[in-house]
Amino acid sequence: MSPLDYVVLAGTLLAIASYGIWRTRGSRDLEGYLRADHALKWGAIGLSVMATQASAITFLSTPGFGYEKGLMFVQNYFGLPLALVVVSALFIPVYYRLKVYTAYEYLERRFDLKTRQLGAMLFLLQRGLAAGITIYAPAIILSNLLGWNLRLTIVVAGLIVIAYTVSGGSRAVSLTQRHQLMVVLAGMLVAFVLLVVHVTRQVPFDTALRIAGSLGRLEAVSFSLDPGKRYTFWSGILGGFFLALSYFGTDQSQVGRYLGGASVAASRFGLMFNAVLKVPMQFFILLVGVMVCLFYQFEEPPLLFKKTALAVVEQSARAPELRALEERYSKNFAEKRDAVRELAAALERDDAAAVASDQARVRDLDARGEALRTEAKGLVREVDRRENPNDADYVFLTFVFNHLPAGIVGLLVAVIFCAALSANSSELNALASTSTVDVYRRLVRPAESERHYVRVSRALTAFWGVVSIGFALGAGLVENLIEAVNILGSLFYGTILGLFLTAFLVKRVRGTAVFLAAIAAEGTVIALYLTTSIGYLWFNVIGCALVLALGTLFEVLGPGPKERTVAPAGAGS
Amino acid sequence: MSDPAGSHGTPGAAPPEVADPPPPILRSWGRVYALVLGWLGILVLLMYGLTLRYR
Repeated sequence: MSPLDYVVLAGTLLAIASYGIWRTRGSRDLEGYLRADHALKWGAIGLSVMATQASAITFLSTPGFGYEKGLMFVQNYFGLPLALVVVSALFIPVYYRLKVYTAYEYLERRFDLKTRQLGAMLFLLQRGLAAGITIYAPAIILSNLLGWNLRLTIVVAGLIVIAYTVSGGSRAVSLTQRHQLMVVLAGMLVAFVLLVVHVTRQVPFDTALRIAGSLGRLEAVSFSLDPGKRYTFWSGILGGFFLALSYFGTDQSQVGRYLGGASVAASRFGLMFNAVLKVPMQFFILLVGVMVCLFYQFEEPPLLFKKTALAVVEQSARAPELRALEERYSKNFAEKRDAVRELAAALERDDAAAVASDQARVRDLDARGEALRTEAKGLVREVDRRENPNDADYVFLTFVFNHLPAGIVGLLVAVIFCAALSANSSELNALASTSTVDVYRRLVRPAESERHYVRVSRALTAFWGVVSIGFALGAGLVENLIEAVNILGSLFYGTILGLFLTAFLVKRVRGTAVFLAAIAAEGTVIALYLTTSIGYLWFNVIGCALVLALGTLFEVLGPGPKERTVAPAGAGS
Repeated sequence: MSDPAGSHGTPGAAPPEVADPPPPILRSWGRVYALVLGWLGILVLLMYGLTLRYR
């Protein structure tokens, strides 16, 4: 990066963080610190909800996915608008009516204390780990590509987010997220426009898309019923629905965002804003990845995008094998580039026979190139089993660093950091809310002053910030970061959602039955994850269905102790 | 789109009323939800069209 890039990067990050601290200093009660004084309008909520979900992983892994496999990942989000409608209609009025700080308070009102604590603990476990990945993701990739010190990058990013989240609480999170999201969207738009300019210097835009289609990168929707196929319309609409319903309805990092709303209507419109824009946004980010793929049809890409993986082999006795692979890859690329140009010419003169034969040739050469990359990854693993050679998360930034001008590079690195900080700040705020309200105030010190609880919230925000830095420092690079986060969520979300849906929908089930059902469901989901190859989105459905079914069954079968019967809050408690 | 002063409300303000008037133009939340889901349907159809066109 040039000095100009560093100025853009540091200026953007520090300006937003300082502004957030300055504008939100001085919260003295929990209402202000954790619920932003119920003052947020729908636009602020909408942007905050969007920024919380879109972490750095979204802007690193998603273009990488688009580059390697095309648009099919967009189907993962098809269930999201449906889920937001359900959260808006069913969950929000209940949370407002009960004036809760966290979603888990509702579980005690409806069931009992142990069920509330179970929900809170599952959240703290899952989100505490995920917060580590949120801060680790940009640090590992930037340290790899730029040679930055990994630990220092994690610590600096973590300290910035701790500073303004501790200082301003929920209001600072919402305020900074708005500016961070603007930087993110502007940066991605600039990257897309520059990619289109580069690609259309080679071929017209429509021809470029037809080449991408020939490479299988434009298959956005598949109605296949094959359960082994990870991304289909069905898994997206059903599994994605349960994942999003649990995430937006019961995950405090999202519930905390819309509970700061000035009214029920403001919160609902904030969620509808996301229901309308999330699918197009994910489509756009994947399309950026497809454009990078098209760019690399005319410009030779590295054999592997992850430099450290190549370095491992280069420094070993098997370096000559790597060089031989690179030569074969380079030769294959030159052949493929010629074939792509011939395909483009055939497409432009509308010569169906030539198009068919050129498409077959391009696909064949693309498959050969991919086989060489697989061979190279195998070589990396053979030389050092600890080195993960998967490089999808490195594709987008490699393009940025190698082919975009000074200043823009700094802006796009700022995009990655802004996304990481905005998602991480929501997580820390939510972890602190749950620890303060559901654990400290409920179990440890129930009768302290508001000022005391704000002090504790600040301390717990800092504590969770340090924990997430600790997790990030100890994390190892997983297969694909965005999949890792979704898998981690899917292992817990089904059970948590089952607790809430039982609370809302099955009036006769009481605390002990649903508590035991949740324990059994979580055990089953983890056992299935460890022993089968079921697509991870289905764990959301399985966990939720098991809690609903087992909760009802245990209630019917077991006489159980006499528990207090409380009308479901949805019925007007 | 958003109120620039939106995140700086009066400290200690009263919690919001649960009263939730429907949006004036659409008259009911049911219509808002129907529009959102209709939008999803259009997006899926457009993306499926893209899949078929560039197969």
